[in-house]
Amino acid sequence: MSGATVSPNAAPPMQRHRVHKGRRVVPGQDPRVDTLLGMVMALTSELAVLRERLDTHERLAAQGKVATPEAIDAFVADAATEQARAAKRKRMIEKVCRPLLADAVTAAAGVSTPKD
Amino acid sequence: MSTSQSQPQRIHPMMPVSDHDELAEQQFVIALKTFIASEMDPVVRDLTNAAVAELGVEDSLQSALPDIRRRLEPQQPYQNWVSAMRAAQELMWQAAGDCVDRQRSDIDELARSAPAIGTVTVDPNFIVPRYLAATDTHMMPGSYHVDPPDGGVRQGAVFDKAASLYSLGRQGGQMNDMRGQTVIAHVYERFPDLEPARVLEMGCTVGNSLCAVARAFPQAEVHGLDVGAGLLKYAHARAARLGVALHFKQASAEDSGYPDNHFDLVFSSAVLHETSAKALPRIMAECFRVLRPGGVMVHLEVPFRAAEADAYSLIRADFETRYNNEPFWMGAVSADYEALAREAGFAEIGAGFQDAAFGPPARGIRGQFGNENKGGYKSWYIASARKPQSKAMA
Repeated sequence: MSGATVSPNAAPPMQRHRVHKGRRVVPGQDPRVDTLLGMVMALTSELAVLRERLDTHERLAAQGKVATPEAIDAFVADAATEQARAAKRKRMIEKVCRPLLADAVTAAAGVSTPKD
Repeated sequence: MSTSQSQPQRIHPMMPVSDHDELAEQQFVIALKTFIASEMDPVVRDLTNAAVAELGVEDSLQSALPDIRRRLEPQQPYQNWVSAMRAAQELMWQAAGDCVDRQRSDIDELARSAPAIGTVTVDPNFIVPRYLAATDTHMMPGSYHVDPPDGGVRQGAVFDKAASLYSLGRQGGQMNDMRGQTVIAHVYERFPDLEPARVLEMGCTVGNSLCAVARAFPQAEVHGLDVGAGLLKYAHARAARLGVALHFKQASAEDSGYPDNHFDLVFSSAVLHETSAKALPRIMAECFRVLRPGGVMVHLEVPFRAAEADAYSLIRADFETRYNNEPFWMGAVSADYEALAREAGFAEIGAGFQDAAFGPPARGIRGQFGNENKGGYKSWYIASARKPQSKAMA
C-alpha cells in the first residue's frame, strides 16, 4: 500500500477495515467481558471451520480420494452431509453458549426467589 | 453430485466466491445468529416484560424506553445478549471481508473489465453526510464509503457478500432483490398507470433492488445514487455483468444534483432509517424537486411502527440504534411520513404495509397494501405519494 494517497484523518487501512467506527461500551458491563466473549465466539468459529474441514477429509477418504487443498475446495456436500454438519454446528454453539443461558436462569431465579 | 446450499452457485458474476473454509465460517455465523434468535432473544423478552411490570408502564412504551433500558443494562443476561449479537455481526463482516480480500485483485479486475453498459460517476470531492460518516452503519468496518487507499470495489463486494448472510436468505437470497420486487408490487397496486421513463433510487448500495426495478420497467432509464465510490463501481459492474444498464452517481439524497422535474419514479428501500431527523424533510423536498408533475415517490422502510410496538420490539430496535449503528432507526419508525410528504407538496399520499414480493410481481393484483403488518420479511412499511400535476391541485 506504500505510495497510496491517504487522507491525514484516515486510520491505517487494515484497522479501518477490521474494527467498526462507533463501537459503544454497554453501560454497566465490564468491557473485558465483551472482549472475551467476542474472542470466544471467534475461536469457536475457527473450531467449526476446522471440524468441517476434518469432516471433508473423512468423506473424501471414504471415496478413496486424497484430501488435497484443491479436492477440499471442490468438495460439494450433499443434503445429508449438510444436515449432519448443521447438527454439529448447532450442538457446538449450544455447548459454548450454555453458560450465557445459565446466567439467564440464575438471574430469573434471583428475581423470583423471595428474600429471607 | 447433488447441489445443495453447501456450495451455492455464483448467482451473478461479481459475487465473491467462498472457498471451503470461508463457507464453513459463513455457515457458523448464520447458525450463531439463529441460536441467538431462538435461545437468547426470549430471555431478553422476559426481562423486558419484567422491567415494564416493575416500572408500571401503562401508556406510552416508547417514552418509557430509556427507563426500560436502564433497568436492563445492569442485568448480565441483557449484557450477554448485546455482546453475542454484536460478536455475531462482527464475525459476519470479518467472514465477508476475508473472503473478498483473498480475491480482491480478481474482483477489481472483473469490475474494470465489465461490459460497457450503463455508467458510474464518482466525485472525488464528495462529502459524506455526517449521519453516515459518524459511525460505521451495521458495524461494517469502513461502512459504505471508506475505500482502501488503493481504491477498488472492496466495500461493494463485502456489502453484497454479507447482505445475503445478514438476512439469512430472507430478502431474496443472493440476488437480495425482495425489497425491490416489493417496491414494484406497490407501484403496480397504488399507481397502476405509471409507466416511468426515468427512475431514481436514493441509497441504492450495490443496485440489488435497482436491477429488479429496471427489469420491471425495461423502457426506463434507471439511476441510482449512494455515498461510496467503490460501492457504486461494484454496483455498476454487478449490473453490467447481469446485462442491465444502470446509471450510478455518488451523491447525497438531500442534494442529488439531478435536474428539476426529471424523474417519473423516485424510491428508497430501507434507507431513511440511516439518515437523520434534519435530513428526512430535505430528502422529501429533494424527491419533490426531481420528480416531474405526476411523478411518484415510494419509500420502503422496516415493517415496524414504534407507536404500535411491544416493549421487546422497542428494545430490539434500541439495539439497532445503539449498537448496530443505525442511529435514526427509532426516528424513522416514529416519523409521520404522511405529514412529511404533505409538507413537501405531495398529494395522493398513502402509508401502510405492503406484502413482501419474492419474485417479479404481476400487474393487476390488488389487496397487498393496507394496515395489516404481517411481520418481518412478510410485510414492509411503505409511504408513497404523487407530485401534483400543478400547484393548483396540491
